Amino acid sequence: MNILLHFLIAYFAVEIAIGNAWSYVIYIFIFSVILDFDHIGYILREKGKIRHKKFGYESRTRFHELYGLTLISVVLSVLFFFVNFVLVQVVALSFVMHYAVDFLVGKSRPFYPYSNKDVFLHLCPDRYRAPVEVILTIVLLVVFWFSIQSLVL
Amino acid sequence: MVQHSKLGIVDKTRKGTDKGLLALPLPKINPNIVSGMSIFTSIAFLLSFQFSKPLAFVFIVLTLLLDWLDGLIARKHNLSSEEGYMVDVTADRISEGIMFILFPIWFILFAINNMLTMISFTKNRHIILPLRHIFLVYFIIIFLLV
Repeated sequence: MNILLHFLIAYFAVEIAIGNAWSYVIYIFIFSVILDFDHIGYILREKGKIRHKKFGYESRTRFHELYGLTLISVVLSVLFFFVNFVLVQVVALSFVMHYAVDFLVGKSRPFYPYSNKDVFLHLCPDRYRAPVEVILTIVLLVVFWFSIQSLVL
Repeated sequence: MVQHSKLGIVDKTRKGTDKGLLALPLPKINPNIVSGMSIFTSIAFLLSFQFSKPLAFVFIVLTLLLDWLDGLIARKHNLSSEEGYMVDVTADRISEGIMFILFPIWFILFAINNMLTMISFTKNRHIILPLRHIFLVYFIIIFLLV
C-alpha cells in the first residue's frame, strides 16, 4: 500500500473511532507511515533494479511484522501511564491499521525473523491490487478534502 | 509443520464438539479468507462502538464466530497447514489490537498476548490467552447489562 493510503485509512479510523482527527493529523501522518521507512534499506540495496522491483514482504524488516507489532504494543502500553491517554490511542490506531492493511492486501512473513514462511490471505488478487489501491486512494483523498473544507468553513 | 500442544481440556472439548460440527455443510473456501474477514469485523466493532453498543456487540460475536469457523473449515476439508496457523494467529493478534485500542487495560493484555505469541512460536508451545472471548464477557457485563 502507498503511504498516502495508509495515512488516509488511519485518519478516517481515528475520526470515526476516537473523533477530532484533524487535531492529531501530524501524529496520524507520522505514525501511519513510519513503518514504511524500513523500505529505505531495501531501496539502497537494490537501487540499480528498483524500477522493476515490488515493495512486497522481501522489502520489509522484522519491525514490519508481528515482531514489530509486539514491540510497539509493549512501548505503547507503557506510554499509556505517562502520556496523554487519547494521543496514545491515536498513535496505536495509526500503527495497528498499517499492520492490518498490509496483512490483508499482500504477502507477509508474520513470524520473520523466526520463520521466512510467507502467507497470503487471497482477499485481493495481485492483478486487482494496483487498481483497487488507486481508486481507494482517490476516493478517500476526495472525502478527506471535503472533510477539511467543512472544518475550515 | 509446527506442532502446538494445547491444554488437555481444550483438546478434549475440541474433539467433542468437532464430532457434531464437522458434519455441518461448511463451504470449501480458503480458511485464510475467513481469518481475514475477522479483521474487518474487528474494524467494524471499533468504528461502531461510539455509536451503538448492541451493534458493537454483534461485531465482537461475528469476529469470534469467524475465528472459530476458519479452523473448523480447515479441519473439515483437510486444509490445515503451517501457513493457516500463522494466518490465524496473526489475524487474531491484529484483531485484538484493533478491538482493544479504546480500552487501555485490554491493550496492555494485548501486548502481553503478543509476547506470548512470539514465545509460543519459538518454544513450540501454545500459551496464548483467549482475550477476545474474555473481553466478550466483560463487554456484556459493563456495556450491555450495567
